Amino acid sequence: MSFSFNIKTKYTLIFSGIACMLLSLFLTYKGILAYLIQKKLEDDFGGMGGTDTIVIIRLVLSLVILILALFFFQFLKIKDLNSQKILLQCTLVMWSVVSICLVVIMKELSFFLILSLVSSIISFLSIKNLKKEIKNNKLKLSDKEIYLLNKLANKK
Amino acid sequence: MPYNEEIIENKAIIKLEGDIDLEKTEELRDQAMQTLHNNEALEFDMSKVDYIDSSGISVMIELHQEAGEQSKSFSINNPSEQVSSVLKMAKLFDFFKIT
Repeated sequence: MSFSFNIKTKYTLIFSGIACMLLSLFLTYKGILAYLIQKKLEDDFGGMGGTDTIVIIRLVLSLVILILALFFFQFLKIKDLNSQKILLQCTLVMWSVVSICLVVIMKELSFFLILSLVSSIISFLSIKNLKKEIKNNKLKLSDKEIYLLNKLANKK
Repeated sequence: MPYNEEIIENKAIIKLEGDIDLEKTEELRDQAMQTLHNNEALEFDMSKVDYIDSSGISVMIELHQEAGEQSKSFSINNPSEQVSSVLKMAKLFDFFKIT
């Protein structure tokens, strides 16, 4: 029994974009939470002022991931199949690295671990599907090509 | 020479393989034209061709016409399934001498 998953590139990009947005929202929430805790501690016990490094890291990461999410939605405009393949390969590498980092560093974030693993699997299946599509397209000739070849052969 | 050649009794056989696309057609045209000039007949062994595009077919059309002008022969031997499919799609399967 064989299963075939025809996952289109656009669904993979939309899924990756949404996953990035969720990750960005989570990091923003954690960043704001860390900032509020730091502020409260400073108010109650006094401190040197300034912003904690962890707050900056979380908010910068959140911004970077948000920009990445916007890129994913922009990539939906790409029609060339070979460019889509390169894009999906990069997406697969990115999600695989994120999955490994989450497993090693933050095992407690199981929701995001599952999300990144699902994104990796979807990217992988999408690449397989795209490769088939590229192969099928390669064996086709356009009407214009057929017309020009026949003209060259003096058949028309 | 980008492709292997074999000459048997003034008949040259060029053994094509892999993808025949825009990147390779210029070299193939030069080699095949030169070989056709030096021999009475030219044959393309296309059993190991994985893919051919319109530029590859146009080279074969040119060779067919050049061979006709020089009263020589150009033929395709054992085309792979992919080559046959593209030639049929282009409605040129009967145009060439296929052995």
